[in-house]
Amino acid sequence: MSTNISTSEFKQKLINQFDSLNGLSAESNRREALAQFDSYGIPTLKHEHWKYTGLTFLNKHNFDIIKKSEVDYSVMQQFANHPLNNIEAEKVVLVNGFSASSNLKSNQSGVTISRLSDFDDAQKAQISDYYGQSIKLENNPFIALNTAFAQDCIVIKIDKNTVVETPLQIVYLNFADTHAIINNPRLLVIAEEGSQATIIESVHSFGEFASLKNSVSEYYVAKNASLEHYRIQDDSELSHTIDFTQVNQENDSHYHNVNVSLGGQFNRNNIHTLLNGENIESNLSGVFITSGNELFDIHSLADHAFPNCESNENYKGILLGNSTGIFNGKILVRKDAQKTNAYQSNKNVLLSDNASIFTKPELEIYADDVKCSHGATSGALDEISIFYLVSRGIGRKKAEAMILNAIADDIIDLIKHEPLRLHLLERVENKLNQ
Amino acid sequence: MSQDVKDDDQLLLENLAKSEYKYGFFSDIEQEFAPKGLNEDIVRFISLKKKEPEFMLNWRLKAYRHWLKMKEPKWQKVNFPQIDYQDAYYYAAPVDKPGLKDLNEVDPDILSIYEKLGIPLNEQKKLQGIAVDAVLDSVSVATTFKDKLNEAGIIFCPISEAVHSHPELVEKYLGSVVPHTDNFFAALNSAVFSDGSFVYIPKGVRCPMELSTYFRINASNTGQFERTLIIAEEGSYVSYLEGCTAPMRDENQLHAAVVELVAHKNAEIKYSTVQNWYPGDKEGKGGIYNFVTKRGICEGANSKISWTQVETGSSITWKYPSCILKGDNSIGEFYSVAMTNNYQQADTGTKMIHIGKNTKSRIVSKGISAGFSENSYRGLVKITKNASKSRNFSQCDSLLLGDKCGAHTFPYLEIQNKSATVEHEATTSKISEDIIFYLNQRGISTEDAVALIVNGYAKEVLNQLPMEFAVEAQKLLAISLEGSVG
Repeated sequence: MSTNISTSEFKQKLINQFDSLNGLSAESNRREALAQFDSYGIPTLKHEHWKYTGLTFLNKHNFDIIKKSEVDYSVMQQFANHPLNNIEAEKVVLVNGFSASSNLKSNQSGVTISRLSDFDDAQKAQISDYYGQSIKLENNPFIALNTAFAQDCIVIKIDKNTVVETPLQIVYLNFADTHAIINNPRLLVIAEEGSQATIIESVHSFGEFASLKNSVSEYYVAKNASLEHYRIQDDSELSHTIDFTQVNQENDSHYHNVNVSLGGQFNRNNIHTLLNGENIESNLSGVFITSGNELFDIHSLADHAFPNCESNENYKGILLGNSTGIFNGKILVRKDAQKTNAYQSNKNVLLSDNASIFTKPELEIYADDVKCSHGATSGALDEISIFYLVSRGIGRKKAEAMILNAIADDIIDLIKHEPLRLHLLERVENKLNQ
Repeated sequence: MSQDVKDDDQLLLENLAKSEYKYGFFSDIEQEFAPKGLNEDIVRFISLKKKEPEFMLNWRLKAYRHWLKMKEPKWQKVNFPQIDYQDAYYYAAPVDKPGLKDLNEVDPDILSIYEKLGIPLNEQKKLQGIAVDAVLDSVSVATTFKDKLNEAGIIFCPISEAVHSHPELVEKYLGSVVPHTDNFFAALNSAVFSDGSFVYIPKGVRCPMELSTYFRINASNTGQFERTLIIAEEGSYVSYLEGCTAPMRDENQLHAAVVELVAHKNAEIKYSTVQNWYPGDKEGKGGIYNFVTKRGICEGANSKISWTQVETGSSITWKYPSCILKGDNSIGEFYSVAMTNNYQQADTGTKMIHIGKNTKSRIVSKGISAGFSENSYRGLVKITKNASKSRNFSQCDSLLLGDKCGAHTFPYLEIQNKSATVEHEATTSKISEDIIFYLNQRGISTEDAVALIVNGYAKEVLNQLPMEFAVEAQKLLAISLEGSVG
């Protein structure tokens, strides 16, 4: 089933597929992106941002870029009974990055959901200030890869002063039933001035072959807008993810990201927030539980460009089996960003001697009137806490589970969407009892 | 307030008034140079000059050949113009006057430099109980308190002398902690090092005095390549002090030293540094490039290595005094104050590699940036699979004085054992206006208030220094702060 292919062969294979895909090479921005991908290549452990994140799985599975014509939408049936299909939300379902329906619509007023491929020139011009404008292709080979190959993009626009009652849920279904695939989903969310919304992203893999979801999402949070953003991954051992999310915030806006990862063979998340205005609040939080040979990696950046903003980062990890956790959080405070408050915390529990955690909480600060801090810890469960519970007649196993649950629940409780929160609390409990 | 403290404060104030670099004089001593540039012949020349045994020459050549294959590292957060390694002298030594028997025979010029530095050898010998192995440029010129150390069986001599008198020790330990393949500058140092200190503490001996050496960079355009090797045998203890000052020169000078420490079972090594090399002028012109590799290994069980550094000088400081905690229950410590002003750049920190069981490490780093300077903490805590029940605590604080400087923290934590506990915390802030106002109100000027607060902020580290150094370090901090306020 698995054939080994060298990294340079793999790169060349993807580049060759670019030419064979209809019409892609006609667009100059795609060609440019491909050239960027080509010049950087597949990162190795020598690249600082990939120091602990080995990409050997790329050589193991014979990945192909998925073509639009190959997409089998029947997989949506398999997802129908999934609990996350049944939480209250307005859904957009993507199979390998493509939407089955050409007629996307929201039932809520002030919300537009559409496909970039359906746009006419006038509509394209409207989003030209947004699409691809917040990300950089240089030194980001996977963004470049996505930009070169993304054959569609879901565009969500929330009109000025609209309060979206029902959360919007984007469901990513990876379906690899005949061979290993790479899909390149793309998302653009524009929350206009004064709007409020909740967006849920979830990832689910099906089929007997490996899949790699190489996604890029851009979020624009305008003045006074408020966005809750939940990212859920509770997936199989054939699932691989390299995700890049860029959030641009303007004056007085509020953004909150909660990332819950309970499964998935390889899961690399990049979340970058640009605090591009004053009085912004930006919160990033997440919890991951890894087991087996899983790898979870989060690279976050809070980029403070203006004064009087606050950012918080709070990530927790629980590691079992042979799994690996990587956290790289960076707070960047630029010269003008006086009166910045930026806090970061990363706490990890290792439950196995074969598990490893690599954490690098960075501060890069160029303004003086700031309060910035970070803390990182790693250790086993606290014996004193366990003793406290055991001395009150609780079995040791139960006591350990209680403490671990409390660690994860701390983050999950930040999710305001109740059905989702309850579902995740239950999943965490099950996972930790295994 | 006691009289002593008052005097100390008075002194601090006086020193504050002299804002220029106070050790910036240049002494004209006859120099003997190797020709400019670096090639195998120069390496042979240095080895020949020092009348080294063959194993040393071979070792140097191996390092040189390896260096040729290496590239200058670029990952550090400092900027400097490309160094032309062929445009420097690799050997400069005061002219050889054979057969010196006591201090009176030492070149009076050399002695007067030390006097200006405030370390008159003769007086120190009597008053301070410190043995000083003074290094002028590259060759050690005088060694004191030999007799007393000899009695205890301690070897404390220039490394060039140790090569002759104890070749077996040098051959065994040189490059054992920092191999010549370690990094670009360590390889360069291994090839061309001119001199440095060698310390050997025999089994069960507690060194009766603080060992100390003063380095100076004197000849213009001479890279200084010191090599220090300290070996503490089972159950021994030594405290080693290193202090640096350099005269004011206009051109950048490269200093690439290597320090190796080996602590055997139950041994303890305490290594303290006060680094005050010329930092360049207010426009960032000149100053020393201080690219140093310092590493110690806790070879045996229950051993301990403690690094303390106060870094105020050099235009670029780039060093990571590290501990390899190999023996079970061994302990590594790192205490650092790094102060940068004007256009100085510092990228410094430590590495704690936990290999043995129950190993403990503690990192306390205090960065202070002012002016246009950049100050980075970069550190690694690595807990390997077998290092069960290991413990690390790190604290890295940064203080920003001014809005044109930068303070950065890049800690790497790599944990591969579940029973290990690792904690890291870092903060960055400025001195709050409330505090300054409070002190102003009580008649303390803003500049003094800042000096007071900075000294308090750094106290945790300064307390780790031996007494004489602590006083000097406090003064240095105050001097370095000048012009950064207001």
